[in-house]
Amino acid sequence: MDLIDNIVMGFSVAFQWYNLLFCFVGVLIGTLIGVLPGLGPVGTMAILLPITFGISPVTAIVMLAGIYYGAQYGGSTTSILVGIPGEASSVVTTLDGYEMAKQGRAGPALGIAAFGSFIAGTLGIVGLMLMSAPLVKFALKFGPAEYFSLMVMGLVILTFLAQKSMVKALMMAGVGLILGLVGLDNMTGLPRFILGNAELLDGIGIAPLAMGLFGISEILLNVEQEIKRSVLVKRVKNLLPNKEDWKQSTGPIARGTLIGFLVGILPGGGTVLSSFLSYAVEKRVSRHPERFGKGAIEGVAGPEASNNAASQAGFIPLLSLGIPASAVMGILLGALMIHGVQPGPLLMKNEPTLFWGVVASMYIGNIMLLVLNLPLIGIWVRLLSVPYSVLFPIILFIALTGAYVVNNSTLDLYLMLGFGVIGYLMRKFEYEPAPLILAYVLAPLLEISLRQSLIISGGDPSIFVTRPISLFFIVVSALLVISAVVPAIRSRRQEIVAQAEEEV
Amino acid sequence: MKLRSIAASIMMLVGVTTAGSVAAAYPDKPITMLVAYAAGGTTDVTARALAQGLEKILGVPVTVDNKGGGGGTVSATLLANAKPDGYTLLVSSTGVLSMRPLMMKVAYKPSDFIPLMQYTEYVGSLVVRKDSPLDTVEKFIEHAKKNPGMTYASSGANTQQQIAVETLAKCKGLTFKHVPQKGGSGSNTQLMGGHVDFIAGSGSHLPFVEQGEFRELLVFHRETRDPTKPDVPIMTDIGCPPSNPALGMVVLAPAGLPADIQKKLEDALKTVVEEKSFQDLLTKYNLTFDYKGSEQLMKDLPKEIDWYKNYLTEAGLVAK
Repeated sequence: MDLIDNIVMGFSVAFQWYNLLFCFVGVLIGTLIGVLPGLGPVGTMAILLPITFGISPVTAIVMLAGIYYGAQYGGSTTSILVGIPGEASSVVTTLDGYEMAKQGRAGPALGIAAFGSFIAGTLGIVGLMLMSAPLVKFALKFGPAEYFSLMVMGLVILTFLAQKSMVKALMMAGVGLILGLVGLDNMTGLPRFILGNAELLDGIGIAPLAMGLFGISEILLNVEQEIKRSVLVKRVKNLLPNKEDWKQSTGPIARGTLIGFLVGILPGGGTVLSSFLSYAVEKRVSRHPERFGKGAIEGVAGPEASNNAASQAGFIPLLSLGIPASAVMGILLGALMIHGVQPGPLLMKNEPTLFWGVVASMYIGNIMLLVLNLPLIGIWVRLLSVPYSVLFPIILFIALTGAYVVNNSTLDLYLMLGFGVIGYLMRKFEYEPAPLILAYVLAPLLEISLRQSLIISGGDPSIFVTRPISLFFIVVSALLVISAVVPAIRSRRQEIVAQAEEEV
Repeated sequence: MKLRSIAASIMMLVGVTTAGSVAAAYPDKPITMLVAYAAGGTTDVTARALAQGLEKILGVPVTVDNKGGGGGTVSATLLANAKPDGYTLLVSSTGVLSMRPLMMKVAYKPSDFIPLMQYTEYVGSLVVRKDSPLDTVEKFIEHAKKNPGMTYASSGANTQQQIAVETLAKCKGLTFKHVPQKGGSGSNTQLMGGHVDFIAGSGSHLPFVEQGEFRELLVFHRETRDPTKPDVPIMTDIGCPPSNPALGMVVLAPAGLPADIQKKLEDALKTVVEEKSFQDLLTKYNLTFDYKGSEQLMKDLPKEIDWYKNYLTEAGLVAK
């Protein structure tokens, strides 16, 4: 059978010693930049791109790809340990992961994140091998209308991320949408909301925003309550997930993988959307949704599996069509072209060693990541026992450096500190930062697909309900809103009735 | 190295005020090469090759710094504020000088820069799916006349490619609906998925043409047919005036650059782009080698600015 021959050939390429070496270098760098907030895979790959000029295209792509999926692994580490997302795709992981760490269960959280990522990555690669062609056809059916409806569903799902007040979560989503529109209008190229500052033409960076809202605010909060810390660290029990943890995580990992894989294929969809879709699904299907946000292991397992599956699936449009689904894939596309490989529909046929070699190397890379990450868990957990007076200045230093190096911009530093103070106040008044970040990430795509759809339909909004895929998302969104609002209304009514009865 | 710096110091002592001494010293520290767009695109890849070549000739490191954003105006603003000492250069589209300042407020003016070299031009063509029944430009125009409001995607609003389609529309009395994307790859996806009727291709569509997914109906921006595709007509073949001038991929320096440093840079850049390895790189990206020196550019740029000024004023797109 052709497929088996191809897989065997792929592994024979991936097992060449220099490919193994560069794969390892890639995943190692990826893990590191994932752990460090600020510098993300896009920047790192862009910086390292010229270094790959001298090596063969297969080896170059093997390494660059390793950086990318390695970063998805590493991104969860800081989310869990200190509540600062290392990458945008790990924002959701902070919700329950950091809570678990506070309860002394950082080990199981890190463990399930690593295993979940491994399982999802592995299944994602199998999917990549078997189903590239038909899935790409499905992805191409997504025009602007389908994207818009998918984003609407994404925003509705934010309500499920709300730990406390749904209204407050939606308000934060609104603020996030506005922040996401700062910069150049994607349609007309005209600047908006930049307050006369040319540096804001590029928009507000995700690094200063996320690190400010999560990192700096967390530090400010903890400065208030110094003593509690020593108590949590002593409670660190097992380092790896136990039987009970596994029982709770199997379903979330399976569902997360599926969601990540499907969303990851869509150009522009990517790892962020898939991770919080997965979180929302887990909260929805859970028999104890009230545990979410208080250290539920499902809230770590699902999203972490999901963002990894999505990062593997993102290779499908690139390798089979030559269409980059994200900025990262754009850089890989550039790398292919530098090496004289023409990406496009014929890549699989013309460059079989490249396609199958890279896919096989991802499998090996995932194993390397697991081996690399599991022993590290012990070290990471011990990091938690470092006293705050030492740990915080280090985190602050890393965050400030991270925010600065992305654009070499001092404005980003001010922004980060400003968002830090805002984030502190938000937490004091119980406004959650996660919906804000996620809405901020979705805003540009939401806006451009809305405007593109309406141009195509000549201003007629029925385009969103006459196309089947779009209609599906709209219906799901409507059901979600109803299911979220009805219980609230019902309980409110009961309250009123109860009050009325009391008064009578 | 030591000898050279000693020699330079002696020269400095001998003729402190003459410009010649400066040229002997230049360059004695790393040069920053700003790139107006994100890493990985055609502008970036060619700029990196330029940087490598310059390093060899000038003997100092040339570091590439991507400052994408604002359609290139972010990097142009940075360059306008840089010292004119030859240590900061920019690789960009001529659009930052001609189109963008007309369409948006920018914090610089075209006279803040001097162009050192153009090495290629951005391309543009009208592209449909291979399975479209509109397989010639004549059929396309006929269909468009009967069906006003056909949709098309381009790599962004007010790009050279969109303006080209609009010149065709104006010439033949057609109306289209433009669906702007964030880049050429967005247009390709839209066309493959059948979400738009055609696209204004900007180069990245060419692999799909080669592989039989897309068909080019008309080549814009050219006054003669492209020798690599002699069967594809150009604007004048269908009785229209030539479309808007193509934007060039250029190297810019801040205005006020000493003449001898400018000469040195111009010579070095010319040597780099004429090397075979650079030529091969252009071919790989389907870009034609189209060299213009500083003098030629100084003559041509005002024409480009005038063309866009007239067109954009008429279209009501000039920013107040």
